[in-house]
Order: sequence, then C-alpha cells, then structure tokens
Amino acid sequence: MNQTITVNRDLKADLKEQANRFRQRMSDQGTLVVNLVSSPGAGKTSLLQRTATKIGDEYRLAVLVGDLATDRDAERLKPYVPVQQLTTGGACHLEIPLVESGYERLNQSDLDILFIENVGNLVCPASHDLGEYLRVTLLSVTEGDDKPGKYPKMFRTSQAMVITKSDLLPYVPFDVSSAVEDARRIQPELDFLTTSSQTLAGVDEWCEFLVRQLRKIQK
Amino acid sequence: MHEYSVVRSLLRQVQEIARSNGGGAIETIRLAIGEFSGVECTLVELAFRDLAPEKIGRQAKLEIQNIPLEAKCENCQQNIIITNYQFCCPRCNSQQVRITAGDELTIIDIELREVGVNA
Repeated sequence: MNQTITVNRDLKADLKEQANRFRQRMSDQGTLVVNLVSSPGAGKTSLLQRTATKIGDEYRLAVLVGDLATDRDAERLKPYVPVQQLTTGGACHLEIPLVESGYERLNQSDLDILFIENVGNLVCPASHDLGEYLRVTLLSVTEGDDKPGKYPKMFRTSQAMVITKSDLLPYVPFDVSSAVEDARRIQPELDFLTTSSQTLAGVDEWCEFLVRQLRKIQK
Repeated sequence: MHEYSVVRSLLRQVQEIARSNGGGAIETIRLAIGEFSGVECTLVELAFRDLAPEKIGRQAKLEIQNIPLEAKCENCQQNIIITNYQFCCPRCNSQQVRITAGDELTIIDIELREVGVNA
C-alpha cells in the first residue's frame, strides 16, 4: 500500500515569507525599496545615474545591481551612488536571499531609497518577489509599443511603467498612448512616466514620483 | 526560463517530506501549476525527467494539474475566467478584477511507497 502525504504547500513559501519580512523591515525603517525591471538595454542603469545626480544629495540612495556576469553596471554606478553587485551566475532573475545579503553588505540602515536593478529580462523577474514596495517596469521606445501585452505578468505585477529613451520617439514607430493603453488593459492602476536619460526630459517628474512614494513610507 | 531551479527546489522539498514521513520511495508528486505562475508545464516536465532520477529515483512520476487564471470582479462580484490576459469583467466591463486562482505553484501531495516493500 502506498501512503499519500497531503502537502498543499506553496513551492516558494520560504522565499515569499523572506520577501515579506524584508519588505516589512524596510518599511519600518523608512526605506523605500524599488525593484527596477526591463529588457536588457532599456536604460535602468542610465536612469539610476540620472536619479542619483538629481536627488542623491538630498536623499540617501543605494543600488543593488543584478547581472548574470560582469560588474559593468556596478562600475558605472559607483561614481554616483553606493552600490553592491549581485552576480546571479547565469540565473535569469534575482531572488530574495541574494538581495538581502547584498543589502547587508551595503551596511547602511538609514537609506531613503534602495533600488534593486534586476537582471534584464521581462519574463522571470515577474515571478520573484524581492520584498520591494514598488515594482517599476522600464520600456524603451525602441522595443516597440506592443510589449506590455506580450509580457502580461511583468506589467500586471508592476505599479509603474517608465517609457525610456523618449528622445528617440521621432525616429521610431512607438506610440506612447497605445503602449499605455495596452499596459492598462493588464494593470488598470499602472502609473506611467516618460523619460530620456540623454536630454533629461521627464527625469524631474520621475524623481518627484519617487519622493511621493517615499513619503508614503516615511509618513 | 527558471524551471530547472523550480524543479530543484521541488525535489529538495519532497525529499524532506519523504524523510520526515518514514523515508519511503517517492512514487508520485502532484503539483498544481497556475497559468499565471510564470512557469511552463512542458519545461517543468523536461527538467523533472532530467533531474529526478538521480535525486529521488526512476520510479518517481510527476503529475501536473493545470490551474486556469480566474478572477473575481470587484464591481459586480462575478467570478470570471481570464483569457488572453485581458483583465476585464465580461459582464460589467470593470477592470477592477482580483486574481483568485492561476498564480499558484503548489505541491498538492506526494505518494510514498510503503517502507520495506520492494517494487
């Protein structure tokens, strides 16, 4: 006779609990955690450089930067903001244990905003809670305005979308309103902003958006 | 494409459950995979075929239960099936819908061979 053991357990229960504990701890200490996700090359690092230049004196920022290989993004960010590299060793996404150990290495408990620059990938990072308060998807105009519908989980689980490289809009067939419409069919409450890290258009609004979110935590 | 890590984690967990329940060989694992869980059933099966024999033995089978994406409309309270990821109530057109099923990745149960009995 075989024996059936009823389990009914979420396969990711431990990771989800760890993520919830981290989120609570960060909120309690007044740190806004922002998980930045996008395709490779959408401009996460550039936007973070601009953000640090803009509000890095006024607010205490730090970045955990995830990559499969190399510390190129971390090196790019170092002149602007405290940064810790998270190397996934080939994995296509970050998981909470890696994030939490990177956070401990930062050794800064007084942060206002902790950015997590996820691995460039619109698929797998959607399924991994990193204990963030805010998930922001970047979509660069060269990727095409049809992407939200093609990566529904990423947009469904995000609270905001930043359309990047807006300086290239005159040269590419990207319709901002149809991208937003497509995304809001999946996530009706999605906030959206448009930025260019080259001309700095929209960077002020992005920073104001972050500060508004920070105030919700530090009320 | 993180099905290999999902299956590695699955195998670790079922080994633990089998150990704490007498250590019989694992015959069957029943896994619920939601349409919106972010993992692809076919790839989970492939990864299982690849990894399971060495970890838990060749006898172990994986049974996958597919869970469709379901939601409840916050406006008219209708339970709905979401198709093509259009998060919109077909009855009242509201977009205020809350996912109620379809994002799970759950070990339902495992079947263990009685200890001392050979296959």
